[in-house]
Amino acid sequence: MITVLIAEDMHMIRGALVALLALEDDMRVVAELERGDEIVAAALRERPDVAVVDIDLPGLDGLSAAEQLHEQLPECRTMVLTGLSQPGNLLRALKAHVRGFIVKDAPAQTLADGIRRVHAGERVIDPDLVAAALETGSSPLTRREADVLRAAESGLATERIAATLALSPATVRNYLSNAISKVGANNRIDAIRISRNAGWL
Amino acid sequence: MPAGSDTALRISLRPPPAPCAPAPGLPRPDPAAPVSRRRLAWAVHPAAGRRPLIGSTYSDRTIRLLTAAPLAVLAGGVAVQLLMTSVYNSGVRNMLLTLLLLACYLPMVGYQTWSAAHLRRPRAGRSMLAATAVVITSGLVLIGNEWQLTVAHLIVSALIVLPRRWAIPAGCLVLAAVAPIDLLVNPAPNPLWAMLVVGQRAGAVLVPTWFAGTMRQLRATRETLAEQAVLGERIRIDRELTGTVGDSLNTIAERAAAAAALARTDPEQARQDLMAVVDGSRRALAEARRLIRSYQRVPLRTELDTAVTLLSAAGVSAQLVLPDRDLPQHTDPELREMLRATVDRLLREQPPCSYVIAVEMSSGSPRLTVSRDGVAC
Repeated sequence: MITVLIAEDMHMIRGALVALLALEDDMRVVAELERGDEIVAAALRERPDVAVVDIDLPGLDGLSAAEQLHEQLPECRTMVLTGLSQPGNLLRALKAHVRGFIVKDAPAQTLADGIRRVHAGERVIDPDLVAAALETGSSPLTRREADVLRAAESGLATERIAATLALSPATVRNYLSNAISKVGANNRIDAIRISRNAGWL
Repeated sequence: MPAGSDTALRISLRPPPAPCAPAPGLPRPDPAAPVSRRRLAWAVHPAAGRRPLIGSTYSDRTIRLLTAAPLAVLAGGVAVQLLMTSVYNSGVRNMLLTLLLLACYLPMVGYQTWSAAHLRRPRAGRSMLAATAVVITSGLVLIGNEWQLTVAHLIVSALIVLPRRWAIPAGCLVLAAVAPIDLLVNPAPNPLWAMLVVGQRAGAVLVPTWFAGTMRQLRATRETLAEQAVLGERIRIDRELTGTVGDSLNTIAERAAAAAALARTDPEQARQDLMAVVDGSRRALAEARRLIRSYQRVPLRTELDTAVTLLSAAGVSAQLVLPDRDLPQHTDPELREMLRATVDRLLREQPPCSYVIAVEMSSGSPRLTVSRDGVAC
């Protein structure tokens, strides 16, 4: 029997996933979560074989949670559900030791098969997502540039971003300028939008 | 098939812009007029002169400077002329006369050069040319030797105003006339030198004017080509969408309608039809994604670098070996498909190994090989 943890913030989708996996004889859902920051604690408690997580979760995003999960419970394999609109997430997911990466609109049977294969130690990645990731290219942003863009996304002024990231305002402006130039944007809002859509943030 | 459903995906196409649309406020060219009569002496295409120029590019400043340059040369000519009057000790009368005559014709020549730099035919150009000729000839009679260099402005005016087939002969004629004028009005005549100086003064005005006009024409042509490229691309996308996703959606709509009709009488058949609709929807979605991906043409090098990054992130050691010369920016889709399939396969490979992804140029096109421990795989 494969034990599964499900983390999905949208109640309806979470319910559908649970119902779908309940139809499989060899699977049992041991935890249903709606927040990313609850994943590790629930996994340590329930010790699931596979964690199926969404990327956009409140509290902690799914990829960060997957990374923490791998550190604290390496035997639990993580599978991510995502949309194709953010192919850049694939790179982050691979770095976070995610074993499965399935698009949300894949056929229902693909999820169950994917969980079985991930449990068996295989890596399951939707070929469409690989193609999309290759076409998007890896992130041109450095870690600091991504940090600054992420901070700017919340609407903080340059001085506040500088204070938050322990940088000088001039350095923040340099990072922003570099980021805008690298992603081919017109301004910082445009750069945030492009980077967010590509999954680079 | 629902009528017109295949057009649902059609992208709205703007009609191509009128090739000779006049700028707001400018008179529309008379289509009945002979082309040669409306053409500037150096203009390659008569339509470009009336084309509204939109957008701002890096060349805008250069064009503005080139447009101002002949006006600056003309303005400088005033100072030179006054200087010559004082050098020749012609007295206050000649100086005042010089100022008066310059004030009479120089604005007209300035307007003509400004119009030519904007690829427009100056209004009442022939009248202005005649007036300029009268003023300059009067100056020769009234002022004499130091006035003869202003004949250069008559050459400028003739070359701008007259149609191409008359402009150059008329310009040459005026230049040739400098020799007898010099013999008549110069106490120490040197006709060849006078012709040289007059030609040089005319060139100083005409060359930047010609450059400005040519650059404007180039910019307008570039904009036209860009518009045509956009239009062509829209038509291509429309054709592709209609032929692929549009057809799939039509099929889905037909099968869904059939399933709805069978729902009461033959539920089993309706169920099968609905399953076919689901499959068809997924295929249409995959097709739409493939199509959209094909519009995002990233350079091959970017895809290769991303492939290595993805493989490294997955714990698969991959080394990229590239040819000495630059890779082509865009390659055939088969090579890209092969790269994607390779990355997909290597990501699933257990346990992860070390691979070498080599790109070789064969007959001008890149070839991809993947090897593990020196063995192609």
